[in-house]
Amino acid sequence: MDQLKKRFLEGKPLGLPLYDIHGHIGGFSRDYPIFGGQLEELLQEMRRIGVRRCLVFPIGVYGTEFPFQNDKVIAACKKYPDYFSGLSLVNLNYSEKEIIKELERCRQSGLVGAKLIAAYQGAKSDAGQIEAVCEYAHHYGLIVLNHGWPGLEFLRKIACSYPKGQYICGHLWLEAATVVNECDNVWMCTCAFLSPGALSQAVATMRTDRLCWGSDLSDLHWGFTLGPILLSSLSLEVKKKIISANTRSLFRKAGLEK
Amino acid sequence: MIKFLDFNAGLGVFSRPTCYTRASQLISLMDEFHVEKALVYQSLSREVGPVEGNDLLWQQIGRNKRLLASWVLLPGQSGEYRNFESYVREGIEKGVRAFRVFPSIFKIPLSEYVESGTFILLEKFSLPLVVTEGNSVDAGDWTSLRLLLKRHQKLPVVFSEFRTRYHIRLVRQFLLEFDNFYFDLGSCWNYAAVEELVAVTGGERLVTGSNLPFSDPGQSFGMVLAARVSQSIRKKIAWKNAARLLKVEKSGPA
Repeated sequence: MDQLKKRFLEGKPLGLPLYDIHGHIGGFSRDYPIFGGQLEELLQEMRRIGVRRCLVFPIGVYGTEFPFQNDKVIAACKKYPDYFSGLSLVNLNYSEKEIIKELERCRQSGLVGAKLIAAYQGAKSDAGQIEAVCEYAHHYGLIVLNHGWPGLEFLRKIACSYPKGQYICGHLWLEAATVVNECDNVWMCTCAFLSPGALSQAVATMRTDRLCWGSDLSDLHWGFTLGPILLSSLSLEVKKKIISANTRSLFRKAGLEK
Repeated sequence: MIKFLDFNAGLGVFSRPTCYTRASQLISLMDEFHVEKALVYQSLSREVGPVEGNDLLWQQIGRNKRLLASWVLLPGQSGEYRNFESYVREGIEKGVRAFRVFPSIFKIPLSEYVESGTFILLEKFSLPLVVTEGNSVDAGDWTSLRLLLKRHQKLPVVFSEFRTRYHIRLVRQFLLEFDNFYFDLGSCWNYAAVEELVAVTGGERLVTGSNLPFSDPGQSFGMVLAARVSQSIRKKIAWKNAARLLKVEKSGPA
């Protein structure tokens, strides 16, 4: 049994800094009460788990009052710049002009990219506005995390056409292995839901320096996303890359970590 | 170090390919995830017919003491039983540790199970009933659950489903309201849900199931291990609460 699995089973701190590629803040959701979801409570939990930095965006992903929700992310990132880096929630039901205007406002306030989630907003997953967001990200060297990219060819086109942007698949997408392996600027979040063997299949088929743990805080429980990694029979080296080194490497690329 | 008693695992060949089918393969997975025992049901019992599936379960478990049998039931007058009471008694005598129903899969409202007296014997023997909503999110029939919990106040009822998301509000309310309501934490992936439900129950009436072979078991077990609760509470959720319900007093062979 490796040291990470042993520590996890013993209820001890993991003993290495974790870097988290997928998190939500905001404190309130239509779907469920967010227990312990206020900013300081989340921060306290990040410290307990050992999370050094988390890429965050609004929990209210439906897009209602998106400027208000983005403001909360901006405030959190300003208050705790060592722990949070923020993405602006894009509401894909709005026009390209309005979206870019909001992205620009958020970028000037310190956010480092965009979060896309068409499915939850009743928008088309291949909405034309997505390419405009990625072009904008390319221009400023920003990060775009998409809950679900509309297809492999679309993602490949984006990654190649706008190479200065960093593109994250928000949830584990095994079919995207070829694109992850081909494109340096595509990153794969290991976040749930996972069927048995999905993670080991990802490790077997994708470059392991692009697999990044995402907690999906404050939507999912820490353990729901850490458990499949830490309890698995993956090698210790791979586990460490997934929960720490890989996302740190993305953060360095994006200028968020030294 | 934490060991688990998995409250929700399936065995056998399901209608879609799964990562294991045989008991020996399940045992290997259990070893990997520190699961000492698992409460199992048979694939036919869930997807085709409980009577035949329950029978096959004994054959597939064999002499393995780490797998604890749970039988799936339909209402007593469904037409599948010659004598429902004898059938349930036979199961208890054979060593069934818990009974289980899949209301939405068999498209029978839970209230109909209750009204037709399906659970009278179970309550008499204090055997736990697992109400499992298998395939979707927030599938619980809470009006029927309320009826069940009120009608059979000495029957421990464990609610388990694929995913409890919106309905966590109702789970919390029911845990406060009914002493015989138990919850499979593997059902709810929400942030800090474990911590909140521990605050509500003191760590009692919470168990955890993997939902194998459909879910990565690291997900449900990881929630127990990462929760902001004491190690003794983790042990309660991982093992003790389930062991007490299933009358498995000590860690070791059943």
